[in-house]
Amino acid sequence: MPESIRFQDFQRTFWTQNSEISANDIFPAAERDAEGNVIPVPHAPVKLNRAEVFRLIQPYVSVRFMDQIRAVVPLALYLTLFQLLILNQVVEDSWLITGGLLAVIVGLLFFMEGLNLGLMPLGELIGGGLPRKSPLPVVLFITLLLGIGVTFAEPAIGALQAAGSNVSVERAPYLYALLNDWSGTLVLVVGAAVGLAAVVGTLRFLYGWSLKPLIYLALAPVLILTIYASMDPDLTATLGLAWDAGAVTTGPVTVPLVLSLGIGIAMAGGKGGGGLSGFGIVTLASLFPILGVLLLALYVSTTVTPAEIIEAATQAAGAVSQAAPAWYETSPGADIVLGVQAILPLVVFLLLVQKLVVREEIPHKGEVVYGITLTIIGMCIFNIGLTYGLSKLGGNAGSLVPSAFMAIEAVAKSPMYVFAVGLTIAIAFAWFLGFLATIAEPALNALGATAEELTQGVFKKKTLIKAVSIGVAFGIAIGLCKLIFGWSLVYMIVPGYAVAIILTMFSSETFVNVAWDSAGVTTGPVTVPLVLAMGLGFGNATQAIEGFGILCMASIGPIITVMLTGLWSRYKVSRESRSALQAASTTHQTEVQAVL
Amino acid sequence: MSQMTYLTDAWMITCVVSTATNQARDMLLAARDFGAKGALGYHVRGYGARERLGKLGIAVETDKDVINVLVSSDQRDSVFEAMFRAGELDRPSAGFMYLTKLEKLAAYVPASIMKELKEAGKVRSAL
Repeated sequence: MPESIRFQDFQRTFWTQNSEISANDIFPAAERDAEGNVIPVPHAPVKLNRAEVFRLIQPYVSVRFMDQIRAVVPLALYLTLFQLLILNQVVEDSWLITGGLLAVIVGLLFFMEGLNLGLMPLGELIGGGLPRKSPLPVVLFITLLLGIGVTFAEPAIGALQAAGSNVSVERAPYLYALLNDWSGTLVLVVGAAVGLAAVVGTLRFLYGWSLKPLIYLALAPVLILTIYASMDPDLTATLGLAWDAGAVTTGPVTVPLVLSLGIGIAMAGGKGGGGLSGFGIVTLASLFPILGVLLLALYVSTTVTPAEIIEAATQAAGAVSQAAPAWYETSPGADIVLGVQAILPLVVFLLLVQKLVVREEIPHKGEVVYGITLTIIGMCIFNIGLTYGLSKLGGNAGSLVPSAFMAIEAVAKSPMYVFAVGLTIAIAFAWFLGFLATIAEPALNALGATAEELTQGVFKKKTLIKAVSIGVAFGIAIGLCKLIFGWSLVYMIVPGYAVAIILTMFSSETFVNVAWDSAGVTTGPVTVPLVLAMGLGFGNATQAIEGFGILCMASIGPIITVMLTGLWSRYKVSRESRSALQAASTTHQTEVQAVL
Repeated sequence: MSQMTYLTDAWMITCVVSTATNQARDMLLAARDFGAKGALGYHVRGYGARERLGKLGIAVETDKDVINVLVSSDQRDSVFEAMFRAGELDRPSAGFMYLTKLEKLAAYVPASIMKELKEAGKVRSAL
């Protein structure tokens, strides 16, 4: 005889663990005083024990941690596996690099969270309040200063400065001078150029200028100066740095902060509604620094001769070996000093503007202070990780990849493959590195969503991400070829930008905006140091004069691919709509839809 | 099986007011003074009512704020009334609000509160 259990009995035993409280015991009603007025209910903070605090924090941290893991680990894994499987090389100092990468992840985690809690609310407050409180010239001047501040705070700028020590002074004296003796001025010039770009971009929002003439106007002097510099054998070496500087500037600090101010100004002027507002600043912020660095290089070349630089460098090298460097000059100390130096001026500047010009109370003051502290700590940890993790890994990979097709001292049995095969492997390596690094970039996702919205779904988000990734991939592959064959950068930049200008003339305003901005957006704080270090290591191994120039090829690539894709999709849409109009409406419903 | 604690005697106040007049903010402040611990807000578009007012319909904003406040039955009437007054819902087209009885309300109850209530004998085992 089968036993039976009443469902209710089963349910009762099943649910007995549950308990029930009246909401009245937790949420008491407000009491009234003698006159019948309400005494406001005090909102006492809830006390949590340690286990509860852990369970509250755990999802908060792990979501953000995974974001950074996703940005760093696939790339690091790709580089390591490539070295292991194709080149049969064990990664040197693997523990140090792993620790460095962990520092990059934790540093970025702190930095981004601090940015969202501290600097961003401050920037938004100023962006919203400043245009209402001050006349336009003052606002634009503050925008200019902000451009300088954010450039110093950009994490990837540190990579540019770190690259200076690897440049050979005899072969590229001016490049060496720019990156060592003039490195402060270099960043200042780049910052001023970013500030100027922010000013012009803001004016563009305000008066609704088209981006096309601005691009032509900015590109003309840049290209002329580039051609001029390429005539001078000493100046040629600085070209790669100048063009790479443009790609480095537009990172996670600059873009949102400058944009929030620009959009705030445009909104106050009543011109913020257009779908394209917000675009263009990134483009200009990647073109103007090129001009700035080129001009600085020209200026340096008129003040000092190569011989003087080489002499000074050899003297300095002698001096350093005598005195032991102070703690703030060696690696971990110097990284921390750099980190504090980068963020603090920006914070002080923002606070001054807030106090003196905007004069509005900062909401959630404690959170903002916490955020700023977190940003500084994150920047310091990131800098340490940059030195020991990303730069080392990129440099390692860069110096080993050439062993696929040429003889390298460090690698026994090199070249490992027949020249043609090895070369193909090296170029394919660069192509996939570019593709992988870009497709994971979170900023690109946001740009894709905006582009899809702007074009009413004609230009899909996925299409944009693919177009940009392929563009970057080809750019990095071509940049690598430049190092291998020692091509001059001019022969790639001038035709590349000529194609881009022609495509710009034929493309609609929307696509011009999206395409030129996508170039700046792709180069984030993980990609830049990695690619930069790889290029430099590669350059050293192949005996190229300098390893710059890869990043700028990664900028021009997506501009061309996105505009080509845009033109193609426009052609497709026009063909479809033409055929749709020609086809007779078959049913009543489709006829109605056609009218709608 | 993990343990569930649910609250009885819980009610939800829902208010639909126009966005432009900033009523939602005043109503939330009033609700807080009367003991409500938190609220949810939505921005929505309303349809219907303005068409019935003829030409006067242009005075009705279609952009609406919806706020949900969870309260206990003891708080219910005082919070409801306070929010009504704060939002000045006794004007035409100012919006409306309603009360919904919630059968059960379940969430995590912090251990310190749970302990306190257990000692006071206010936690019942649910059947």
